[in-house]
Amino acid sequence: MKKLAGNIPFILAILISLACFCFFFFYYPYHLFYKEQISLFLLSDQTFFLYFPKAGWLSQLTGDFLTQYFYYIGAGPAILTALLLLLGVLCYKCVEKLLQRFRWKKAVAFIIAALVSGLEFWLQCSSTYPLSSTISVLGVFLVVYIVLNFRKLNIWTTLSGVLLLGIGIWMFCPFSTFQGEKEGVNLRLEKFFALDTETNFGHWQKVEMLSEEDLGNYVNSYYHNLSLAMQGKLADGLLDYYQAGEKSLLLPVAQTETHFSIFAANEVWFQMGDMTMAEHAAILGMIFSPNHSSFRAIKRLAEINLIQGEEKAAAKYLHMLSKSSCYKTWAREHTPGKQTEKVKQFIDQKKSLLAKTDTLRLAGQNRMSLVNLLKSNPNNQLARDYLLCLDLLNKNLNLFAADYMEFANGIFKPIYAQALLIIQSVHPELLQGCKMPMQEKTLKDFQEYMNLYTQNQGRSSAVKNKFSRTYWYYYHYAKTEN
Amino acid sequence: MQRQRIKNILPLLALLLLSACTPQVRDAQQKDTLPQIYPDYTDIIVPCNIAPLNFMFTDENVDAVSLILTSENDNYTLTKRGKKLVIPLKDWKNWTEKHKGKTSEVQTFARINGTWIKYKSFTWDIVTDEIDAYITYRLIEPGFEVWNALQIEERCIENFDSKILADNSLMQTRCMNCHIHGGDKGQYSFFYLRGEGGGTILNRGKDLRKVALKNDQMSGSTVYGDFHSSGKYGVYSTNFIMPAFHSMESKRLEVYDSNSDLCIADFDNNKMILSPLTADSTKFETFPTFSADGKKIYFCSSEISHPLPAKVDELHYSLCSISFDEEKGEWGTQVDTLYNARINGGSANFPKASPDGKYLLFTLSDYGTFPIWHKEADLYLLNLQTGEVHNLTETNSNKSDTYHSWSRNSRWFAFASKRGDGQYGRVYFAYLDKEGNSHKAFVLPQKDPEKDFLNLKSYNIPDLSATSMPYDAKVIEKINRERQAEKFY
Repeated sequence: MKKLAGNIPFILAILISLACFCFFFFYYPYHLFYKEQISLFLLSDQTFFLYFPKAGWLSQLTGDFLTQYFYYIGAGPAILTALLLLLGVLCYKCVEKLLQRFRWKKAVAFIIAALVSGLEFWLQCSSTYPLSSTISVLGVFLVVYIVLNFRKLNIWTTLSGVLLLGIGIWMFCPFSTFQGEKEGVNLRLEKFFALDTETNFGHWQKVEMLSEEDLGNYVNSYYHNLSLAMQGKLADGLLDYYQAGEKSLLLPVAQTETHFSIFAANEVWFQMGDMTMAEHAAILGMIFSPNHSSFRAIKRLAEINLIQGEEKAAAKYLHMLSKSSCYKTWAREHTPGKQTEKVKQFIDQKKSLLAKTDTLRLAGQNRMSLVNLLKSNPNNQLARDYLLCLDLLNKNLNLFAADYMEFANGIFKPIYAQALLIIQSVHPELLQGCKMPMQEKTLKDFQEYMNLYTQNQGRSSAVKNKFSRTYWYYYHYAKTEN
Repeated sequence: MQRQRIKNILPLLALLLLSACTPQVRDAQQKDTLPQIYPDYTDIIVPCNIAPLNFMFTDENVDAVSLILTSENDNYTLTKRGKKLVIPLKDWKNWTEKHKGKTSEVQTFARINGTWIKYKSFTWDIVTDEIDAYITYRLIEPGFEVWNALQIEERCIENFDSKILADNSLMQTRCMNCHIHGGDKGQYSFFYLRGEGGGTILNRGKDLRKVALKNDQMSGSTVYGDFHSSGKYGVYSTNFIMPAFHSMESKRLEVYDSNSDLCIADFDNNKMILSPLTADSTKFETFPTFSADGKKIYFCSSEISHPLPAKVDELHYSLCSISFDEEKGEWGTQVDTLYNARINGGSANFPKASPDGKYLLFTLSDYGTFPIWHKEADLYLLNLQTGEVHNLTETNSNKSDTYHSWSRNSRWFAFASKRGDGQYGRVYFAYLDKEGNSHKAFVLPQKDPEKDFLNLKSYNIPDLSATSMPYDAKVIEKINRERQAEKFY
């Protein structure tokens, strides 16, 4: 019984660690993956020279080295749990040593250790709080533990202690490594990171499912729209969901945005084949990220330059990735001359989408970019869907009529038909030459909508129940920034 | 006795261990090609005061390398594990001091899969004409029109020492740009701290000043500029800069002016001097620079084309000049055209007069005023005595070559080129011989030759100077924080 009581702290520590692992593995995995994505750790002399002059170099070096392995499923939770457990053990040992004559030393030591580890656990739930900060705290306890274990107190042990503390500060310097956000658990961000991660791997159905919960947020809508578009059903599902106008389709790349959404903006341009805009967003997203560099951005920049035929620029990024632990295989498979068939096909498919004529556009002139892509490649379905949906969300029916007739004449989608009916009733001259594909039901619904709208003098409540997911309702009642 | 023996043996053992670790070239197979190395330091002319020309083999299978430098009856050998040949600074300085004015033959070897390969040798001509010892540049990601982390760095070309002159992380991440030197030794300098509460940091050898180079008659803030040889004046362009994106691959960004004029700053009297000839509303005027004697101002000028950016490819800048009276501080009354872009084609940018007054070095691209992303942008030399213009083909590449700066002896110039990877600008140096012929350019040597591969910053607007600047980032941060910008009228 006494033996069991003595083992209680040990058993509790194991149980708490297990809970910690499960939390990060099952409930909160995307934060850790995101930390890896916005880091860049390369195995080269250059890397080590960059770390050495900094105070706290060892914790930063170790933290960044370990963070790269967050790429692998389960590795992040395992590493973090192990470090938090180690931190708890060291903290426990230090407190126990300090309170060695105190009766409740084990219980007090356990509570303090749990609080310290718990605090670090909470901080590690933040989006950009680095692993190096936890290692800094761990380093401090390690130094204190060593000093506390000096057997005799004399001039030599005192000097050694001071020296050790100095070295500890130089190597771990906790004050300089407490960086990043400290917001703790943030489930909203976890969801955005989930969307971003699944987008990165092209799991479009999962992105659609994850973004179905309507957050009333344009970043969420952006991922939802992208997932629909990648499955060829953007126009079908556009109005089933919250839309904030143009930026729900194409995220703005501006200083008012976060580095997360700036980088995310590259994805849709990359998928559509506008590599200039994709590169612009990817580079700016990287510049504004906490470390001004990231594996994710370097990987995307390598892809963009391979597609553009800029092999020297691609070689630079691939060289960087070849110096990493987790991306060296990817880098090899993408290196010109060593590319796999799958990679070659992917690059060729993307190349076929590139613009063939040059146009100059200002930042934010999204429509011009889409038109240019379509003029070069009228079969670019993604660009076509985005262009028509952009016109619709901006309520610019004149442009929609022109774009529909030029790029989609005859294609039936309910919201296109709904918009065409509005144009026909107001400006029929805009539709000369339009094939007007129509279903009987759409015509009937339009008639019913217009009757209800007129009879109720434009009150939205009269049409909301039945028509809230139609373009007519959006056109009349949705507020747009544009 | 036994302890003494051990003591004697120890150094011998250490030596043996060391020699066992250092690979030795054996039975090398001759190859009739030049080695694949980065940087490309094959067959170049170098100044005798340059830092060691460290380089690396790019073949991933190389695991040991060797180099033999030979000049007359002297030679120097270096063998290393790995791909990199990093020459110790002391050895290199001894070599260049001993062999300046002569040609060194460079024989390289690489071990691939256990076999040593002997490559075709190349040469380094070590000339006695020195290059200015310092170069400053802005370190910035090629992030088009947006910045976050910026630094202006000064690098000593004779070794690998560097210092940060300004760091925007100390100053609310404000934009900083255009660090330009002046004076006969590059001892003067200015650069901009943009944004609210910013100004131009002016260094004329005494106290640093923070000045606002603007008055009520000026259309905008100063951008491109240059020092008068006396240090009393600066000439500037005021540009409203607009960025636009190309849709074709690799062209990326076009930056054009929606308005640009010229002005002169009188630093002693805090006065801006304008002229209707260089503030013409029907023309864009930009990139002003003083002649070596300070009696002329060279600049670029283009008719305005409409609408922009659609017709940006119709912007063709000519090289022009106008006189300047230093005594009276007055602009001349006549503008002369030195290179007529409408007749000769292209668009001339960024003229820089050689300190000996013989040449005007400028960039020629197809159109516009932003050659950084123009692959065809090349360096051209205008002979101011004969009026002849020629393309520096030996120096230029198939990527953008621009933003140049002269060494004080007019024998060397530095410039930014994207020839390395097409994306990140690096500093290159080229030699101009007494006949006015330029030679193959080489990149700024780095202590670790792999640095350029792993660095995600461009070296923006490199500017040479014979003198190190008397300030650093902390001094600049203090000035920025404590001083209001002096007004100009």
